Amino acid sequence: MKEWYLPNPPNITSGYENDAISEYAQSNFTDVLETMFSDTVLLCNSDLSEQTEIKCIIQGNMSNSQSKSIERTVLFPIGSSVVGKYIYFNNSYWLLTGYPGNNKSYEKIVATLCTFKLRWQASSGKIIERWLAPTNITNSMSGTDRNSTLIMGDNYYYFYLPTDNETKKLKRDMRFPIDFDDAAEPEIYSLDNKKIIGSNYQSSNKGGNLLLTVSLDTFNKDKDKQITLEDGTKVWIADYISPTPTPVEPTTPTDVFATISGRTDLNVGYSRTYSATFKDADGNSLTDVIYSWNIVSSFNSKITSTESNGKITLTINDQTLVGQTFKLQVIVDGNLLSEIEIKVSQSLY
Amino acid sequence: MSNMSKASEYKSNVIELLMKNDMVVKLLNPTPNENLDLSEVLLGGTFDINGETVTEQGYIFDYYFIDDTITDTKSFIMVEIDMPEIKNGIFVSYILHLYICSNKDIVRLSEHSVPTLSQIKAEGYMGNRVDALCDAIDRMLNGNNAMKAGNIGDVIPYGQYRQIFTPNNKFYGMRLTYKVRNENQVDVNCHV
Repeated sequence: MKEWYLPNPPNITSGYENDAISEYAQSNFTDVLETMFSDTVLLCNSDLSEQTEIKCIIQGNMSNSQSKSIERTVLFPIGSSVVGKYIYFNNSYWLLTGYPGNNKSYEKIVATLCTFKLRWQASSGKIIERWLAPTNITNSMSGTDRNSTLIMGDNYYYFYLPTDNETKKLKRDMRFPIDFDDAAEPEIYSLDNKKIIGSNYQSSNKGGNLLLTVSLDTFNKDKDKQITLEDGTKVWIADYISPTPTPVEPTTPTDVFATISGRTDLNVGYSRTYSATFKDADGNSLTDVIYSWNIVSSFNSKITSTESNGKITLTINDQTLVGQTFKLQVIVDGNLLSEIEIKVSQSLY
Repeated sequence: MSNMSKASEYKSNVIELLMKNDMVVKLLNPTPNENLDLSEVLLGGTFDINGETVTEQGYIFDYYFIDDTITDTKSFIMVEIDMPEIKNGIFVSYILHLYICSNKDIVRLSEHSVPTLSQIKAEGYMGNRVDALCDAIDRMLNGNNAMKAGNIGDVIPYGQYRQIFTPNNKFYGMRLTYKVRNENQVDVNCHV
């Protein structure tokens, strides 16, 4: 071996070069970490509650394919990396996947870009969030399964989640929204498979990931809800069970403005539902206003009304009333706040 | 009115009865749309509301398929008519098929479903959603009020009266079959 390529002068007292190689193997790497070729990342646990700054070298930044572009090879000081942890750099979270190996100088592990934050509600009611790292992003599904009578959506996703106390509880048939948070009706996916063996390295204290397979399910308007998290973000949660609300004393502010929503024509034989919304003088929405509905007409006995959850549903079954009008009013503290005129129209069918 | 027109009229009358049946509507559990009438939500279609195009898939159809990809957990009723024979040139047999199906996730009724099991029991129904729908429809067509309900004619259960109907692996349902007897209709306005 030549002496000139060694970064530090070799130990010349023993007369053997292998001592120098062993002595400087890891320090050579830490020296490189002090150069411009290193990166500083945040090493995070699975729920992001613990974050540690650490230097490493990130390779594979210049890939030539879409699938490779979401993977990096990360070189850490030996003993730093654990599968199932995240690293945060370039405004993104990357999940450490693949068993880490070392060459006595540094440790090498694969990091996969996390592209979506999966959310679900634990049995305790707490909302759990984990960044997922997709795998096998290309598949041959057309997106729909067409038989002669019904057309169903058809899609699968495969992704990694870190193994932790919450993800271990995931069970088949659990449902997750995988769509944009502002979707009117998000696509819901059901957990089909949870693979442990292929990426579980906990026996060697190297952490682990779960490989999950989810398939497209259907949105359930009675179970899948959009909620607001503590930070104000509105997100969808599948099979959401709302906590028991704390009773709030209803109030009747002095400056209240009401708006009645609903169509102004009522077809004979069919029901139409009307709702009321309230705002204060500054345009802020009010939710605890005590109000009542009132109908003003010359044929009140022929109007069937039912109230539920603050809304009123009206039905008229008398064809002779076509062309007549009546008023629907919102009353607060005996005061008329809003009214609309509704016209009785022909039966639709 | 021709036989074919009569068949369409029967379908239309049955659908109108379905839409006015409170238990059927309750079990279909349609998602309300503040811009649309309940009938428009149930029948589906494309509507122009204040210059904006609104589309509803619907829940009740007068044909044996559902257009558009199903993205919600829903129940559907498809109404179809067969005319297998004309007897002695006088009497036409209209075979009325009602295909009732629900997404498997919502077939079971419980105290957490919509409607709840208690709600349907209170009205004299029992079983799962598909069972209750079949019951509600059968009472509507096969019961004493069938004749008065609206121009359906002599309706009797027919053939495989109630048969399992599973259009795919995500839906479960039943097919109800009835026979409606009527006179052979010939259009008197023959144009040469």
